[in-house]
Amino acid sequence: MAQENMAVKRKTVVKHKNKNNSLDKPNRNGIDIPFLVLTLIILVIGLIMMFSAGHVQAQSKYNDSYYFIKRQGIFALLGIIAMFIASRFPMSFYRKMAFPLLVVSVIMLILVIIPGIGIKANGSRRWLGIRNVITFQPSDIAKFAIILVFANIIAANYNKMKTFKYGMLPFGLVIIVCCGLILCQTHFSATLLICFVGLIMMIVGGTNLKILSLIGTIAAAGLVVMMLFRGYSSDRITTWLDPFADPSDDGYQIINSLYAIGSGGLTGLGLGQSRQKYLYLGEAQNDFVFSIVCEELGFIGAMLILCLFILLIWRGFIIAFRAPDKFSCMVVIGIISFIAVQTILNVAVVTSTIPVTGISLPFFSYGGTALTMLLFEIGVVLSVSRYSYMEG
Amino acid sequence: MAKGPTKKMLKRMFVILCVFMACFLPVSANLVRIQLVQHDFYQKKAISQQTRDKIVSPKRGTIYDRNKKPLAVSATVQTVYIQPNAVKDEQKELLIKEFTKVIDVEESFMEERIAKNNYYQIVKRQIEADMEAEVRAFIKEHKLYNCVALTEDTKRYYPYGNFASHVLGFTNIDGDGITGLEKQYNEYLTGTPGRIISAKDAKGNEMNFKYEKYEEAQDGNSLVLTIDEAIQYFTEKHLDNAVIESKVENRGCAIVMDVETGDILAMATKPDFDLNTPYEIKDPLLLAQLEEASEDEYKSLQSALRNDMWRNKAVVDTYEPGSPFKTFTCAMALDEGVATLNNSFYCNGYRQVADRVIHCWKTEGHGGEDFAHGLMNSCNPVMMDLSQRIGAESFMKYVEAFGFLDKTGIDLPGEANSIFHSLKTMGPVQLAVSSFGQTIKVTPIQLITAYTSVANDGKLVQPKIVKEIIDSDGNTVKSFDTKVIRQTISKDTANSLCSILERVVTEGTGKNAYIKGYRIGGKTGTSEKIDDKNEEGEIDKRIASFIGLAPADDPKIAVLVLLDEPNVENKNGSVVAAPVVAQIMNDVLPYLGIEQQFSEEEQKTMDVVVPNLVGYTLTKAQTELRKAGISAKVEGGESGKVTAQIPKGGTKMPKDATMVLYTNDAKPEDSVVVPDLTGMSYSQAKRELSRKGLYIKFDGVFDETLESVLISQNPAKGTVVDAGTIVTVNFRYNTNDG
Repeated sequence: MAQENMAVKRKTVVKHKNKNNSLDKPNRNGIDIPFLVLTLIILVIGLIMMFSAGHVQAQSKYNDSYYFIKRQGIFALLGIIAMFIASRFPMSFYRKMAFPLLVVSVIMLILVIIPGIGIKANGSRRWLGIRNVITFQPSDIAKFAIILVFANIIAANYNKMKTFKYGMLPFGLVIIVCCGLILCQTHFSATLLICFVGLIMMIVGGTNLKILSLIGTIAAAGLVVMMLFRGYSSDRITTWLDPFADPSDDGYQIINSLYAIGSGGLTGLGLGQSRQKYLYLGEAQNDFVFSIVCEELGFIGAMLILCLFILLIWRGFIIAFRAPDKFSCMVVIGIISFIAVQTILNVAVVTSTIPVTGISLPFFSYGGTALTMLLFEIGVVLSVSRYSYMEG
Repeated sequence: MAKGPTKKMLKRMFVILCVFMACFLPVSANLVRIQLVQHDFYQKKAISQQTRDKIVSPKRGTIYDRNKKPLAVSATVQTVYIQPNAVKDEQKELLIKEFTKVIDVEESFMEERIAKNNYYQIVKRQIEADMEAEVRAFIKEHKLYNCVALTEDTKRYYPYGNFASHVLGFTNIDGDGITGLEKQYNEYLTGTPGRIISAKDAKGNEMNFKYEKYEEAQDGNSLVLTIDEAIQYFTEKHLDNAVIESKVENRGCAIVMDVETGDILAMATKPDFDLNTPYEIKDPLLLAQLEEASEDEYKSLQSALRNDMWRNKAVVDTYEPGSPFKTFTCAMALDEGVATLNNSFYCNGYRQVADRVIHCWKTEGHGGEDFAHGLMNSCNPVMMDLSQRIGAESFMKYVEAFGFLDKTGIDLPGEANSIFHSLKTMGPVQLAVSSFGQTIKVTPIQLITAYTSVANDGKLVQPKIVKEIIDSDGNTVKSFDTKVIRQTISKDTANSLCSILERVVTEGTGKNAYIKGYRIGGKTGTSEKIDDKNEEGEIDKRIASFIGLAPADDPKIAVLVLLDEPNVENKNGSVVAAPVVAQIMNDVLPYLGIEQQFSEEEQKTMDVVVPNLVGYTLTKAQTELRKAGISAKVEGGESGKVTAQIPKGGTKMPKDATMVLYTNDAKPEDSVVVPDLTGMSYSQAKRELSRKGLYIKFDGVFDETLESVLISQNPAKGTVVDAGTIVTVNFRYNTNDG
């Protein structure tokens, strides 16, 4: 089916060249409705499940069952507004904003590691803003800035992408600077995500695969070495290999995640009926929300939700396929890849398919500003969809 | 050049999309594995984590004596536990420093428990009401509701402490029987625990939703023993005294058994231990051993001594029975018809058997004697002659019939096997020495059981200690009927033996077992501990025993007393063990309502109540006394009124004694000092006492033809008493036996 779509795509691209020369002129079909609907469905389910998973923790920590959902709900509303605003801006605006935003991101990434300015929580200094009122992770902004910059470079130098100087060097520099700063926060998962998404954008953007695979091999080797030297991560690998070996500490989360998923069975215990959320699964509203989904909604519910994500990713790629220009296409690829990689990694972690890395599940995990940012990025994708061609 | 994505970009995008889709495959596969394939495994694990399974301990059944007097009971007590993960930092100090004092535990222990960081740690088990009140007050005062709580538990109590300790046994802290009946009937006594299953969160609090299951606990069944609390008490009292008096070094035991039903009425081993504190060693002999032990040995020695202390000697230890076994040799001979009561024997003091000379205990020999005297004198050559006539094969057949080759099957743990020669190893020498109970070993319970068959018309019954098992509502679950195992000897043989055994007590070596008014049969025993020589290689250790049957004409009970290694000059069973049986019988027979029968001789010496004659004229007083059959002498003139009398009116005096009447001015001495009578013969003592205006009364059989020594008197010498008081004296015959 995708093959077929691509064939159609190629035709529309040709048509598009003749009919519509302006980037700024909206497509008469408006935004992509399936993508918007999928987003909203996932968002609503995500909010409900986050509430279900987190209310015990909220009651225990803040003495208010609704603590998480109230905040998440407000940020979701803000996000939806941001999404519609973002969808109204033309892509040329985002292209102009690319480098300034990167500069701002780098500054914020520097600020956040300065004690006194960066806000520390759970042992990591990753946030800026006002404690307990509004905080955000600069890495979320940086992530978006990197997507814009990468897309911009690819669009500008598309023909020279095979060379090392244009196809590798600028990307490498941006990644080294940003990821270096993010690593200073010991934010391993964000680093991993940015590297993954950067890599995907470079591949799609036409970087010489031979050079890329060489660099990739070196990076992977470096990654392994880093994991070995930093107990923080290598312990996680040991735990992943045998979570029951150390049930009291590192293995605790993953064991309880497995208990939750496993006791869900085929049909689940029913919405709100999770038992593992009763403080057994410490991060139930956060990284391990999917475990509670599995426990309450069962295998059927979990697979349905995964299918919704698959559909969203697929629809995102359709938008990328139909993008009016290379910049828009690359931005959509970047944003959708972020969602895809994050979803896959998160679900893989909670099912103990890969070691624990602390990656949240888009639309589901608690994190207000991250959700707003995500919805804003969805808005950017929708903006691109305005300019795409509808077949028929 | 195209502005939109190029063909190459589209191709690469398509590959990336495919990779993304593919990535969902392993994840989905894992979901299938965890949620569908391993669902049961994880669900079980999750539920065990999420639920609190509280065990409701059932109440352990009671152990009653035969009259439903409780001997072992369970009571509800409280166990204190803490919830370490709920202990706030500021409460830690309080728990460690203060709370430990309330519940009497080490500070370091409490510290360890708090460090456990789970939701349930027991800190003190089975506290009683007073400590419970203190704990509750402490919790209230310091608001420790979040982390300290009490839960119900049951504890075993033994109301009489060391009473029947070897029979009852005790339980460990978890309520499982470790020794005695507690162990033997643990299954019946325990009951089935109930459970309360409730949901809890990771911090141990109840979850919001209902998830509770309750299974009621089934209380344990109770035992009704054949033991009679009163008989057990008498037995223990007298055995305890004997063990102390005779300086017994390897403990003594006693069994009282109903010969018709096999009911064990009492079973005691002394020194004993307190069932409420069974690990505490109190016996000074054992404590002395423990003190000498080095630090390394201490623990192992302590546990070895405890195990020794808990051994029920009457059942788990074997000994060489010695003379009491002669009864069976005689029984065999009569039953087989190889000897009759009219046969006569001659004891020259030894017998030559094969290449061995085997002596009688009386080395100068008993001379000529009949069958009955052979047993009454406990004569070894007679037994050897009899065993030779019986032959090894028949001998062993009877040994088996009397139950000496099997365990008796008494329902107590750890019954020992006897040690006997087999028919193959039974040479003439072995047969000869076996005939008087040496070189063989039996358990005390085996011996008394075999004796009851002699007492019970030849019927061997299985000894039993539990009469019935009843449930918590009092319904009978299981009852134990009398089980006759076999006829060992004919009724006639059994009756003949009973009368000979009575003569052992009245005329033979068992005189110290005699009690006035009762017909007692029995046999003494003094066996050498041949495998326990002293440093010079001499066999100096003895086991003194006596087995008694009463009433001898129709026995109801059998009493066995065994003292292992008495450390007094005369270690003979006739001297150290027989009186103990007499004392037990003297208490038990009236308790059982067995009537006394007095011989004419005895009736003469029975007490009479003295009439008050003061104020009477002498003639009238003398008429009264004649009516009552009391003789009197007069002080102060043969006329006038009686002004005083000895003894006083209303008191008792022996019927054959003489009263003193005082007339006119004659006055008796108001009080006299009791003289020292030790070592005197009966007539010497009587003369001495009447000189002082006191009367004599004796316990036991009186036989002036035998050498006897006065061993005790009551009141003691030097006591100031009223004139006319009766002084009770006790004689012991220095007889020997086999």
